[in-house]
Amino acid sequence: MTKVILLTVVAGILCGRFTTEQLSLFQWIVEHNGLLIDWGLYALLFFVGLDMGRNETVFMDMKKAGWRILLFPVASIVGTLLGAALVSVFFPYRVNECMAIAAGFGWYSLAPVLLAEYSSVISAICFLANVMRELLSFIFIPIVAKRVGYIETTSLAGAAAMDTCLAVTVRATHQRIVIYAIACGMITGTLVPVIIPLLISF
Amino acid sequence: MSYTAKLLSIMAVGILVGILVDKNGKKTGKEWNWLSKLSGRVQTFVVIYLIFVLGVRIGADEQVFEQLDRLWIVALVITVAGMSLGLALVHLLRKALKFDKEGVKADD
Repeated sequence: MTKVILLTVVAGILCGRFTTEQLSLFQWIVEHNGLLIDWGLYALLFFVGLDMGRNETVFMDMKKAGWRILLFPVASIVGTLLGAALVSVFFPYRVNECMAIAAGFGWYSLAPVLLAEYSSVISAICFLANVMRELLSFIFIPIVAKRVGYIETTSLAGAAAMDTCLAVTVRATHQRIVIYAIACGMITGTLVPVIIPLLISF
Repeated sequence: MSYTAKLLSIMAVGILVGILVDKNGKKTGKEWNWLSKLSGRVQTFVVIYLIFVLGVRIGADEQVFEQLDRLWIVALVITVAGMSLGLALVHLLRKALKFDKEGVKADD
């Protein structure tokens, strides 16, 4: 899936770059970009929610694990946003823009789309940053599991902890960490469409 | 309704429908396999559609190309800083809550 997405974004960029004036379809896409993105997002979030709702056992498992399990994703989110805010001093972008870029928490198919109407430059950085987060997670999950701790691995992947990175996490840690990974993925994932619009509204 | 509220409500409606479907499945024994398949397919299609539309928009923006050599460095620094601090906070929290390195609570 990651390959398909990378190829799709490259194809889209080439279409936007070279054929806008020749082909009216791409011109039309650029002109109606906001509307096209909004309706896509509505469909995506509805079905993501549907899958969440059908996973009753996950909610039960989380209940059993107790309230502490919810604190780890919160710490991961706060740390991510704080880190982005700190390095914003080195770049010509505003603090809230840098935080919004990081607030994709690795969900690179959603986060840059949420920023598309705000600014193409910020959206492009956001795409790169969140693809990097997933790739770096693949590399660092086994290392962090060995040297730092099992629960910490879930914080690396953020929103991707419950899907693409889950297999890596399970292999590098223990079956009991799965519920932490899912809690982390669910909470950070749900907060992506909340935090990003909020941050850029300032 | 604000944009965030709209996105969240749509997700909430999805979750509600999901819970109802799950309950119905348990009651009647129906497996609703077609819905799982449909959901997976729609999500794959929509993600590809969204990423393509996003790509076209980015591609049509001259500013992105003028700065492309710099953008990836910004992305890398923000990502590494965010991941490192997130990791550090989760590590401190794990110690504070007395979970061991392998995620087992000491007094369990």
